[in-house]
Amino acid sequence: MNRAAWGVCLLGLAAPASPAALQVLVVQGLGGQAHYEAQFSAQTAELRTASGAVTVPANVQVLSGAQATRENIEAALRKLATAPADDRLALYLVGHGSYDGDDYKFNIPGPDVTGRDLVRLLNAVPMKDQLVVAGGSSSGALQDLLKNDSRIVITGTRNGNESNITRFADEFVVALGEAAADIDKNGSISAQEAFDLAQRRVKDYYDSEVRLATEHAVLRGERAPRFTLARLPGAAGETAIHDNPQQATERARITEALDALRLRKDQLQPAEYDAQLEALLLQLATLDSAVTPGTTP
Amino acid sequence: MTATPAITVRRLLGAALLLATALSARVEARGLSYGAVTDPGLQRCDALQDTGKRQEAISCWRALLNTASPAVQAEVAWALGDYRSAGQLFQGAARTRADDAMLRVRWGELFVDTHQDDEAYKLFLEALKLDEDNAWARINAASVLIGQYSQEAGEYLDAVLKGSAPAGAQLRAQLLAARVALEDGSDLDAAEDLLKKAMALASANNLPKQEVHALQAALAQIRNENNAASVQAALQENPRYGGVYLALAHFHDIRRRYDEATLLNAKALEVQPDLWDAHVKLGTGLMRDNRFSEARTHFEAAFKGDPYNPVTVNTLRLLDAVARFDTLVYPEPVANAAVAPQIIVRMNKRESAVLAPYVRKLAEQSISSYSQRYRFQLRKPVVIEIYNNHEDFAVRTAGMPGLGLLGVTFGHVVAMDSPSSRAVNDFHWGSTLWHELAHVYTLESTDHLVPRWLSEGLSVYEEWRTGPTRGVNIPLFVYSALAAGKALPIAELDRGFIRPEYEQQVHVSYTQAGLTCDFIAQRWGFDKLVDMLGQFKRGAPTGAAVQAAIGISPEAFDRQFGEWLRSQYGAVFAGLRPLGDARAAARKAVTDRNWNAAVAAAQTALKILPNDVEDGSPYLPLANAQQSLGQEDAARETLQQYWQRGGYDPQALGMLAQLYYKANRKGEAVAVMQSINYVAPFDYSQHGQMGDWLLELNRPGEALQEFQVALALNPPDQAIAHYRLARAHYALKSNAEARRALLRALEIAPSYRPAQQLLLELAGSQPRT
Repeated sequence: MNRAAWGVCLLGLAAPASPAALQVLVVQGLGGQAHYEAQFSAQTAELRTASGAVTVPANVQVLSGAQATRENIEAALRKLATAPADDRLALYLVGHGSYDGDDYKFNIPGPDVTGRDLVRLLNAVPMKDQLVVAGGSSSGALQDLLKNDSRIVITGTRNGNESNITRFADEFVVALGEAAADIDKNGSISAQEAFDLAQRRVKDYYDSEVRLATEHAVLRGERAPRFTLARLPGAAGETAIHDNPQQATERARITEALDALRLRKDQLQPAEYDAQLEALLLQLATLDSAVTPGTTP
Repeated sequence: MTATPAITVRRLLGAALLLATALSARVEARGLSYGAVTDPGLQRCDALQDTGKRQEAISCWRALLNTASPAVQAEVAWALGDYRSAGQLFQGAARTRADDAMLRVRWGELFVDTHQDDEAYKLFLEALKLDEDNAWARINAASVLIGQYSQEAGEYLDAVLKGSAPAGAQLRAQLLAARVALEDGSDLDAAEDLLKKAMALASANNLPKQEVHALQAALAQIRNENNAASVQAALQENPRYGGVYLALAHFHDIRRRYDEATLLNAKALEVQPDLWDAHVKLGTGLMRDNRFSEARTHFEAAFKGDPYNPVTVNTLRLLDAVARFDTLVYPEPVANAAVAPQIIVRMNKRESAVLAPYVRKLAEQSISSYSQRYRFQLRKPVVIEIYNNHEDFAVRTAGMPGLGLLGVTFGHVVAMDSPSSRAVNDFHWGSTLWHELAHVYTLESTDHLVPRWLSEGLSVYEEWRTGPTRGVNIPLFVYSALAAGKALPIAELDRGFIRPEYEQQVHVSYTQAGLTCDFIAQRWGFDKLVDMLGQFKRGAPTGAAVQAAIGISPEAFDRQFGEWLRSQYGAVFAGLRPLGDARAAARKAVTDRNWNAAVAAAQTALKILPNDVEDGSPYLPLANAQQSLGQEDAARETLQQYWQRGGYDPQALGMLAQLYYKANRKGEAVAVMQSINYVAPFDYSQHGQMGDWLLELNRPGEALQEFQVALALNPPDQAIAHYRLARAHYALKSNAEARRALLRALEIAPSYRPAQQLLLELAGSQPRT
């Protein structure tokens, strides 16, 4: 099992922090052609739906069509700069990008918004937990511009020179609604999980067509496994949030023991590791089956 | 060997070539010059070489190195194996002798020797610009073009044969023409006549006869006559003339007598150990017999002696790649018990866990079926090599990349493309394997004497009638060709494969051969086809074999076959244009989302050709339209027809499977999904879905295999993949395996409820539900 998956499991078991609000800004740029317009509109609609399951409607703002101007984007981000600092921000850029060798440009009506504009605007937002998803062409040019210690940046290409339309953008959005993306089966999709599934599907596509890939998505930001972007329809939610205090203590003990056991895996014989793992998992299974989701403890 | 045009790849993809590359008539390195070299000193040294006095020749050439003439120095460097220096010397000489046509001819021949035919050809053309009647330039140009299957070769060759060329050039032309005639095989008397003239010319002009003797030996071999006298005569003239055996091996090789060719190539090396071409041919032959380490020895020797041969370099790289493959043996070896291997499968390690189960299943089914139908038990295990890199497969087949084939059979060894080497839906790999395995039987049961048309015909027939996608499926362009009367007489059908006269003739010939077998099976019974194989094994030509097996002459057969074609397909022939129009209309209507128009157009097309499941099949827009109109039952029925007639588009079959499942026809849903494995086996979600359905049908053993394959594909959702495995093991009462799989699932997703439930059940905490 790889480290990313372990990271997902560990954090999936951790008792959740008190829920900071998620602020979402979706900017849908110009499609140029009818089928791209339709594609981008569909992505925006999916993002709106996914976001609606993890935050209140008032926290989801969509700028599209004639509204997606540079002035309105600046205004929206300036307003978000007044939101509580412990809120989280997800900025989605849905559309075409371009790169002139110097800066990235996101194609919108009127003057484009540039990578440098985005850096300036996002740096002025005090929220530490920021996620930027730009899945379209040339988006990789944003990676170096936007990187900082805490920001998560997901781009559909690895640099500005990958200028073809990407499959990643669609696959990322689709992943937000797919059980297959929920690797740790906690009922929600993190930025890491959505990225991993989308990246895999893009690779599978090019492999199946025996074509050289013209896009290579990149994720930077260690907090990606913790940044929840969507909840699966019908999911009961993390069992842990329904624990009574005794159950919470027991869960914390089991979680800690599981973490410690995993760290010792290389030092144990496989049979011994499995025996200890099974014992802890049975304890957790017993605990989970005793906790009824949806009930007040 | 012709490349396969992209638009025809789809159907050709069901057929395969079993013949090795028809080898071009490459002369031995700095071969006999027949008078092209006029320097007396060089002629003396060459004469020593040409009569087997190699060491004396070397001393003689060395003595010429200090000669004032760069052109002679170039010849000497070439003779001593210093090709680079020879090339530089020729180049230098050409600068100072701008009008010297013969210099350019000889320089071109150096390029031929170093496998650079395109550069050589340019020099021959340059020579002809300087001297348009230069017979040497013409004969060399013809030789290059013949190696490229170009019809233009004839012009050059005829000009030398019919003109007043020097005797040596005439002799070379006669030898070249004779060689072509021997390769073609349809007029051996003409070849004999040419060789008689060549011998007379050589005798009258005191020219070497060894190559004439070699081709006379080849002619006798083809006629199954004793050729010892000719071989002896060649060796008497030059005891180091390995070329005589090389030539004999070539004519066995192009007739797929690979074992015989291997023995003769080995003999060539006994006589002339530095005959690098023989090392390459022997290495190739050994690889066709699954003797890879011996083959490598010869290719390494060939590389040391002739590093310019791209076949050698490509093959050594291929051997390196194959050394990293998995080799799987079935039945699996059992400790303390002798179990004869029946099937050996070799493929890239990354793919073996996915493909091997399906390869094994098909191979076992085909061996069981073909052993009975062809009344023949294989004498050696079948070796199946599956190449995930198409260019590796191309090199395996022909020594060079760029081959437009999917599969090849060398006897008991089959090599083919992996489905991963081509785009999804590009070909039906299961049918290709089925096709190739039929070749194993038709070749081995006749000691490789089966003619090309019958071996291909039976392979195509087996695809249509017994293979994993049954249905007589013919591309529209083949219907057009047959409607235009392009079917060849049965006695000449081999020509359509070996020397095609128009771009698509090879494809048309495959189909014609398949239809020929279909016709014989329908009218006289399949056993008559097996009887015909027996005739060929006894050495009968096509006409005699047909007469003996089915009791009519080949001419009568052609008449009856033509009548049958018209009765079976006359309506299709007449309806080709409206069929094409209706197909296009159906596709356009779907693009326009005009569903009713799509239904009407597609149904019109299918009335003309109900078996139309090829590229652009009207079944697909029809099902699409019916689905869009909410007519699910009709869409299911349409896709069922498509599938049952041999259609294999994975998306369409996936839709059919879902429709069957929705209609609670789970067994059929699974059957459809299983058939997708033989087109597109690398979709992990498809295997997972199939496994789930198999569990619902209480077929846990099959479900387990699907889940194992899914896991081998490294799906992103590993927790579900392991959980599914656990369910299958649990259903098979393998609780220990189930537990192990559950731990892997829960290690990733500790709170995954279904896996937790099963773990608790296994631990006895909860009753089994």
